Amino acid sequence: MTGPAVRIVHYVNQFFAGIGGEESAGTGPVRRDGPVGPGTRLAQLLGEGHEIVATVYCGDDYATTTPGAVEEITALIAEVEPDVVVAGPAFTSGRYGLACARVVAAAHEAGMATIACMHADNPGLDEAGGAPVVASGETARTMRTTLDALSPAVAKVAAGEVVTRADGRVGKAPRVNSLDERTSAERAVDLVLARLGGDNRATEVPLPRFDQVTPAAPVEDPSKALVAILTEGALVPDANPDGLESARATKWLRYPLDERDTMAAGEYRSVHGGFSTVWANEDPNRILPLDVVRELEGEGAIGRLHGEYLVTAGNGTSVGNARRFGVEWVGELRRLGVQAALLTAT
Amino acid sequence: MSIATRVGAPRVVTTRGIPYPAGDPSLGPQEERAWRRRLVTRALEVVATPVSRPTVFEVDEVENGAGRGWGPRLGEEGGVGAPPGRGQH
Repeated sequence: MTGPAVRIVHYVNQFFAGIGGEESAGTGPVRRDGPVGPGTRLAQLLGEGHEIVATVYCGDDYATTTPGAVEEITALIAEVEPDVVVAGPAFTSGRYGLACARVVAAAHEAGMATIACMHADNPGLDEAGGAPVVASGETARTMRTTLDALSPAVAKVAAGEVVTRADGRVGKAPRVNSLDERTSAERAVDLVLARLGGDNRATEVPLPRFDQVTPAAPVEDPSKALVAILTEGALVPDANPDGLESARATKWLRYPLDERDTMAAGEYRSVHGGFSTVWANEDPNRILPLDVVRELEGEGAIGRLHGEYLVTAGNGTSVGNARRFGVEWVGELRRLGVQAALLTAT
Repeated sequence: MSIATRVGAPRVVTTRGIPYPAGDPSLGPQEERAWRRRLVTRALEVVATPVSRPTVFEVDEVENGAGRGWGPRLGEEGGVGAPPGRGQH
């Protein structure tokens, strides 16, 4: 007994739609009938009972920087009345990952069944809202194995089942109360036994993963470089005018350094909640070494000091927020031509 | 392995304590400022030094301290063999 096929709409970027690369990243959203690019293989893997009825594609720049882009894309998808929306795989491509995540988040919000696919290090991962995301490989070279893993997860979503870590799910999963057949004591003992048996990975609470960051090339000549000073030591103007959190920061801030030669006691203070701030408040240069950086600037050891410092509170910060701060800080500093950054960590 | 290398910070200069990364309250004001200056000077050398993975760089305990080459000590790259700094938490 077979019912009507599950109707799937697939979202891809301009590159995987075959429109072009970076030069076409400004292309607005377009819908085509049937599968396109990786959707062709995905449709084969899904087989009978599932049909990719349409593909919606959009340039990555358009999708991530144009106000209302996600709404336009979601509207094109909704017109086809799909049973399931699939986005990606986006691999480690940042803008494509953000676009996929925002599209499935919006579609999920609109009540559609959705799933996205990207690498666990993709900055889009945390923007998928309540929609499930399954892991892809790092690059399109892993397309085959990535689609092999994605296809059964799509089938699960289509069947109304929950996608779990066992299906390759990555990122936030909504917490759902359930009653386990075994007590926590029994499960804990099982985990201890598993560990004694050599299984060091078994856990009910997976730890966050840390990225591997490729070190930047060295600065050729610091005496010609624009240098920025940054801190996660929560050093802010004394009144903490922007309400920086003392723990679990959700934001970072910037404050001017122009016409200042030192971080004067009384004018700045650390609101960090993870250590005693007595020494920091006694001499805030202990957190942000402005006094000696100015001195070195005057002597020509650095080209120039950037006119603002960036600050957050590094105390119980979620990995997702920390990654976002990092991406935003790098974007900001690059845009302003900063070549080296000294970050004090408490 | 230090926390800094474990989380993957590519270039790390060791300091003397969590509450005062760019200072050392146990010193007199002039000595402390001289220490801070050595830290920042070292950091500027470090950003001009190529690294292939998270690497810890030590700072001379005293000005023109003997026995320190420029760059990481052998075996220091990747945090291996990096001695704990004074007052490290």
